[in-house]
Amino acid sequence: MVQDNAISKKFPLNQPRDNGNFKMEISLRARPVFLGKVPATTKDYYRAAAVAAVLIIAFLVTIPEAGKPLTAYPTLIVVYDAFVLMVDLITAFLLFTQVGHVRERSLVVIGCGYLFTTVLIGAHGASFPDAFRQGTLIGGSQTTAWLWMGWHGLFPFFVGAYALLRYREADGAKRRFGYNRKAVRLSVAITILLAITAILVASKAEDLLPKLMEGNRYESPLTPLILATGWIAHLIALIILLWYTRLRRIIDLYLAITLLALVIDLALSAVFINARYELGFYLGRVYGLLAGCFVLSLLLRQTFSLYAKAVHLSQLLLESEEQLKGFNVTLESKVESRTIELKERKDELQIKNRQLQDTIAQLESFNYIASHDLQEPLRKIQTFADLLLQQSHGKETQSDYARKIHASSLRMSELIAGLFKYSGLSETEGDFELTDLNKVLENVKADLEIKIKETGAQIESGPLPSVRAIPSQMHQVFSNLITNAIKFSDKQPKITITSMSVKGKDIDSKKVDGGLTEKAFVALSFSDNGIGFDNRYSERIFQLCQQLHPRDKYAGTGIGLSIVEKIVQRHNGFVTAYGEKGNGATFVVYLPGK
Amino acid sequence: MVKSCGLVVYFQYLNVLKSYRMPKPLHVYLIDDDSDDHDFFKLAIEGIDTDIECAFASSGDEALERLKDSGFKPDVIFLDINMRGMNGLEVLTEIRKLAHLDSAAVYMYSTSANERLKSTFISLGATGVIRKAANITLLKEMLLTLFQPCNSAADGSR
Repeated sequence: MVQDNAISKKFPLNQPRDNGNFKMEISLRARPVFLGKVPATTKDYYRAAAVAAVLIIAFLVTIPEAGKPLTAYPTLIVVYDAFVLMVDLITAFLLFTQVGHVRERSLVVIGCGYLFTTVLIGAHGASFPDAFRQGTLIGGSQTTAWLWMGWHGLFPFFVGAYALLRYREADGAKRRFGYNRKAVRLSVAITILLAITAILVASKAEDLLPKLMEGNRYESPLTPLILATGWIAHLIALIILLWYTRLRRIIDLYLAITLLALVIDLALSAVFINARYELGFYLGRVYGLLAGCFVLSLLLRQTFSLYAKAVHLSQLLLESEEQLKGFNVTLESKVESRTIELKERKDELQIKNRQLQDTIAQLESFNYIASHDLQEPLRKIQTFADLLLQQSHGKETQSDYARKIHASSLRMSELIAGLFKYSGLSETEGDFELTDLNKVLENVKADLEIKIKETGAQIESGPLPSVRAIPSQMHQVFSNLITNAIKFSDKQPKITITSMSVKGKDIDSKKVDGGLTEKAFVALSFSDNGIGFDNRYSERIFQLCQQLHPRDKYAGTGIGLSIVEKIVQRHNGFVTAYGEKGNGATFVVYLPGK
Repeated sequence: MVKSCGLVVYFQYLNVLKSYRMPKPLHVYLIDDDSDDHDFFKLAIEGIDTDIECAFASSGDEALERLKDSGFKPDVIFLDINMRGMNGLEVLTEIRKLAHLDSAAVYMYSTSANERLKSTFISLGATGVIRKAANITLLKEMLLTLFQPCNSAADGSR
C-alpha cells in the first residue's frame, strides 16, 4: 500500500480501503496541477502579504536617507544585472514550459515579457558606463538610461496584457486557444526583435532621443516626467492585475509582488534620488533583486512539489493497477468456482426433477389403476352375483357363475398384491451397496428352479459386473424379467444375459436427458426366444396393468414390468424393450456405472 | 272357389301384417377383449328384443379384419376402451377411416368414463361414451334408451 513517509504526510491521500471495495480519494490539495494554473491558497496570500509588508517597510525606512551618496561600484551593477538576467531568464523559461500544457495566451504574453526584459538587461549591463576598461560595449552615455527606461517602462504593459487575457480566458472558459507552436514561436521572435530594436535605437540613435543623464546625474527636466510615467504605469498594471485576475492563481500573486518590488525599486532608484550610486540607488536594486529571487525560488519550489506529487500519484496508480489486477484474478476465480457450483446444483436439480416427474407419473397411473382396473373384476362380481339372485338357473349355470365370481375376486387380490408391492418400492427397502450381479442371478435361478425344470429353460450369461444397488431390488428385477421370458414362450425358452459398458448417449430412450450423454452406464441385456411383441408397444408394456395378450392365453397382472421400471428408476437408471412378433424380445437395463 | 280366394287374401293380409309388425333387424357389434362382457351383452339383448343381431370380437385386430369387408355393416358398434393390443382409441380411428361405416353409431364402452376422455373420443368420431353397468338390468335399460330412436326410424308406422 501507500508508504508512510514524509511525502505522504505532506500530500495527504485517503488510504485505499482494503475491504475489497477499491476506492481512492485524493484530497484537492494533493492533486497536481500545472504550474501555470495552480490556485493561490490562504497560506500563499499570507506569505505574499508578509513579503509586501517587508518591502513597504524597507522602502519607508530608506526614503529619508535615499539621497545619501555612496562609493561608485559600477562593476557591482553589471554583476547585479547578470543576476537579474538569469532570474528573469529562468522565470521566462518556466512560464514557456507551461504554455504547451495550459494553453492560455496570457502565459505566452507574460513569458514574452520576461524574455524582453532579459534581453534588455543584458544590453543594459553591457552598456553601463565605467564598468569596462575599454568603455561601454554598447552605445554611449545615454544608452544605459534609455535601456533602463525600456526595460522598466515596457514590462508593465506585458503584465497588463497578461491580466486582460486572463480575464478573457477565465478559468473554465470553453474556448481554448489551440496550442499553435508556430504562433508561440512567432511571439517569441517578435519579442526578441522588439528588444533588439529597442537596443539599437537606444545605442545607435541616442542623439535623436532626449538627453536623460548628465554624467551620473539625472539632469534633464524630462527625466522625472518619464520616470513618473513609468512609475504610474507600474501602479496601473498592478491595479489591472488585481482587478482582472483577483490574484486567483499563484502566478498572479507572484507577479503582483514583483510589480510592487519594481514600484519600490523605481521610486528608490529614480524618483527620490538625483544621481547614481546614492543609497536609494543601491537599495532599490537590492530590493528588486531580492523580490525577483524570492519569486523565482517560490516558483521553483512549486514546480518541484508538483513534480513530486505527480511522481507519487503515478506510483499510487501503478500500485492500484496491480491491486486491481489482483482483484480481477480473485474475482474471476470466484466466479469460476461459483459457476461450477451452480452447474453441479443444476445437475442435481435435474436429477431430482426427473425423479419427481417419475414419481408423479407413477402416482397418476396408480390412481388410474385403482379407479379402473380394480373396478373391472368388482363389476363382474356384482353382475354375476346379481344374475345368481335374479333368476333361477340350472345347476351348471349356477356353478359357472360362482366360478366366475371366484375368479374375479382372485384377480382382484392379485392386483392388489401387485399394486402393494409396486407402491412399497419407494420406501427404503435396504441400502445401496456394492452388489455382485452374478450372485443375484444365481439366487434367482435357484428361486425359479421348478419353473426352469418344467419348461426346460436354458439361461446363459456372460460375466456380470458388480454395481452399487439395493440387492433385494436387483433380485426382483432379474426375477421379473426371467419369469416373463419363461412365461411368454411357446417353445423351450432360451434366455441370454449379457453386460456391457456404454455412455448415456448410446441409450435409445427418450427419457435420457441431455446432461447424461457422457455419463457411464452398465447395460444388462436380457434376450429370449419367446413369442415377442409388436414393437410399437415397447413403451406401453411398462405401464401399470398393461397387457398385450389375451388373459386366457397368458395370465398375469401386468405389473411385473412396471415394478422393474420403478426399481431401475430408483437406481437412476433406465430400461428399454425391443420385440419382434414371434421372434423373441430383448430387455436392456441401464444402471449408472462408475 | 270363394273360400280359396278368401284364404289367399287372408294369408296375404297376414304377410302384410307381418311386414308391418317386424321391424328391420338391428345389427350390433361388440368389440371387447373380455369374454364375460360378451356374455353379459348377449343376455341383455336377448332380454330386450330377439330381433337384434349381435356379433362379437375379442380384439381390435380381429374386429378390423371383419369390418374391412364392406358386406358387414353393423348399425351400432360398442367399443371397449381398455383392450390388450390395440386399444379403443386406435380402433376408433381406424373405424372412422372406413367409408361404409359412416352411418354406424360407435359408442365407447368403458368401466370409467370421465369428461375429459369423453370430449376426446367425440372429437375423434365417437357417437358417445357409455359406462359398463354393474348388473344386467341396468345394461338392458341403457340399451333400450339407445335403440329407441333406431327402432322408430326403421319402422315408419309407429
